[in-house]
Amino acid sequence: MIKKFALTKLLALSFVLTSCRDGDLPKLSGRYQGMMTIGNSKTQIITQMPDFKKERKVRTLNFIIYPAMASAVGENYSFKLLDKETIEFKNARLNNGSALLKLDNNCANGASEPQTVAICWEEGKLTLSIKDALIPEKSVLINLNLDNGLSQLESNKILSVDELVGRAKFNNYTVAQESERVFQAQKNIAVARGNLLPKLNLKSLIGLATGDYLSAVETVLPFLFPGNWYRWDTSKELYQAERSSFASLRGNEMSMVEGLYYIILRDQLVLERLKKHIMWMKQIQESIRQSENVGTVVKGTAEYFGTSIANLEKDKLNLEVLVKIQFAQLAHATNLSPINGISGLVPVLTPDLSSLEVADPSAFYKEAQEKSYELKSLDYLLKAAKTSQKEIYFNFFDLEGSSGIGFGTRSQILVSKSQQEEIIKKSEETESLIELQASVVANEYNLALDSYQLAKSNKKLSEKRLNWLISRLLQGDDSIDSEEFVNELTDIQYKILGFAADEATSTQMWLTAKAKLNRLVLKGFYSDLEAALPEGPVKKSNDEHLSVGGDK
Amino acid sequence: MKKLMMLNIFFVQLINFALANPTPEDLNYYRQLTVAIRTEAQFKVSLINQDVFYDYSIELGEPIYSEPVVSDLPLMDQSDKFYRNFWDRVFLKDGSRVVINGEEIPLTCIFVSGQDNRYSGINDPRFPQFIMRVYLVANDFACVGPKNPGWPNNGGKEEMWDTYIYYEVKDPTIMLPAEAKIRIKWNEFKSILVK
Repeated sequence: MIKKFALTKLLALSFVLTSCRDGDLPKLSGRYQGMMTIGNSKTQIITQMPDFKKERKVRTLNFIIYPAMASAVGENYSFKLLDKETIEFKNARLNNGSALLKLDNNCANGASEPQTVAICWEEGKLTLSIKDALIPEKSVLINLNLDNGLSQLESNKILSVDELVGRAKFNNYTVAQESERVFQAQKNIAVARGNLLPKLNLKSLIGLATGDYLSAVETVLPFLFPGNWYRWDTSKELYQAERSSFASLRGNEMSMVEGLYYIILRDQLVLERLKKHIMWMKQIQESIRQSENVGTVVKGTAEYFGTSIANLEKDKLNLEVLVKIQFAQLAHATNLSPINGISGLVPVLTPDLSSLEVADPSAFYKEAQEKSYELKSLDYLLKAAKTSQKEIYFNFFDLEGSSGIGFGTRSQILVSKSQQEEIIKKSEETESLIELQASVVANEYNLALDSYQLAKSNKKLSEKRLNWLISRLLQGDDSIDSEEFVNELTDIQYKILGFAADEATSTQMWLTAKAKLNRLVLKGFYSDLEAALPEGPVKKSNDEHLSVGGDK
Repeated sequence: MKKLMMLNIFFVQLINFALANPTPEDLNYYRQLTVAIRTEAQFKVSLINQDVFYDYSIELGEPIYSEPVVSDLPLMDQSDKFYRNFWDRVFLKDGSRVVINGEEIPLTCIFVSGQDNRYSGINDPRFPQFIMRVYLVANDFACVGPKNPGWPNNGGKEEMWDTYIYYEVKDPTIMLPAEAKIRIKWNEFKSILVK
């Protein structure tokens, strides 16, 4: 044990001596995550650091830091090693746009009045601070750690769709298994809902519950490489294919999380309305009980009325459990604690759906095809296959190569051509699939608008009838003592509740269809799906640890 | 784009019910409404080829409830508006009676089932602020009703009172009886106020 400890100490010492010499920068490339603090506000951030680029004798490190939000725009940072002692730091937060920093061991410090800048690094860690003497609340502190994942947030947080879809976006799905989180969430909730429905008397509350859930969270476009495929291949074409495919997966995961978010919001609204309805029914029951006590209603009426409330209570319990399960699944899908990761969701603003124009798939399917990461990926694969075929021909000239032209060459060429044919066919199929998805999404979008109109109109009619009943009540034509009156009043309120749920379902369907549409044409949250991905393959150099002012 | 400016908050939190508890002034006011009921009136029952007149006179005795009983009820399940039911019950003093075709029947108690619409949020003057359903009950010295509390297990009819005068008041400032009827030995006759 002591020997092992001594060996570890020796290794650590040798690491310090070899890698952190005065004036040296450690290898910073990799994926970092951390926090940016501006004043009192803290934001989770992500960045992908490339290797230093060498131009003449100057080394430059350019990287973009993204807040972990779906809609966030990245912020550019640049370190330029001018000589052994000086770094030029560039960032838009600096009043002058740049500052010269002096290297001091593992830190670099400098000022650009009234701002002072300090950057420190050690293996797997980077800290950057910009202090503003005049406006302290503009001071920025960035802490970054080399980490492939996304760290947990404080528990029991109320999160927005931007934050949660952002987490889905910046989760680094290094293996397909990780991407399965979102699918598992989808499947588990579908199971939970399936279990709930036979018991749920308020089927109308759920609207299109039997079908909407799956359609809401299903993937818009297929994954092309369902394996352990994020190896960022060193071959340029294969690397680009992987990159496009990753962006495609990322878009699908984000779309599913967004769909889940809207479903939970819808179910929460329905649950809240249901709770209010039950509370109102209990008030009526109490009033009937009081009427019984004073002798205007036959004894036992309030008790019997309670059976209607009991059925609603059962629905409420089921819906409450479903919402809890959905919260847990959403948290799981976004790498948060399923038990206490999310305590609530921020409501979403929606336009007046009755004034929106219908979606025409012919207006956007071409754009979807042009922007499609799936097609891009196939295109890169085709290029890679062609390169590979050329290699077969040119192997003849490779004197050191072991595979010259021989009896197997023709077969090899045929296989390569067949592979290319397969990719071309797959491209055509994907093109058609995108057109199909555009049509499906447009239909879902338009159905949501029509359903909303219908629900709104039905709700309005029911409210009109309710107002008529209330007018009668207030005129003294009827009273709570009349059983028929109470039955009609509760029936109409129940219908309004159902139509309000339909309205919420239509809004959720519209939001989900809009998310899918954005996913197809890469707009909104889906406009920068390649954010914080590793840059293209670079030649591996032997100098793992870069030195200031060029090679030593 | 203007259309998009009409934003709704999807899934807003709903308003909590805010039922007001009746203030002592409210309860006192409801009792005063009972006290203000006309102590005498004459009605006419129009039959074919014949008008039958009856009149009543009452003197209020001890109230049965120490204060009127109230119950608030929200009008809709997603609203904070409500209306209030109030009930009051007062014994009538000896000498209170209804006279029909010279026959005198003692009236024993008065039962008021009232409705206070002031909290309904509707200020349309066509809607009354108060509605009082007044029962002048004959021959019931216990004043239990209108429903038979043990029905159907204790036999008898669903309602308790076989004879009473009923009318509604929608304007308490003049206490004008409307929708009047008289029930005599379970037979009911619509009536018109004469004076």
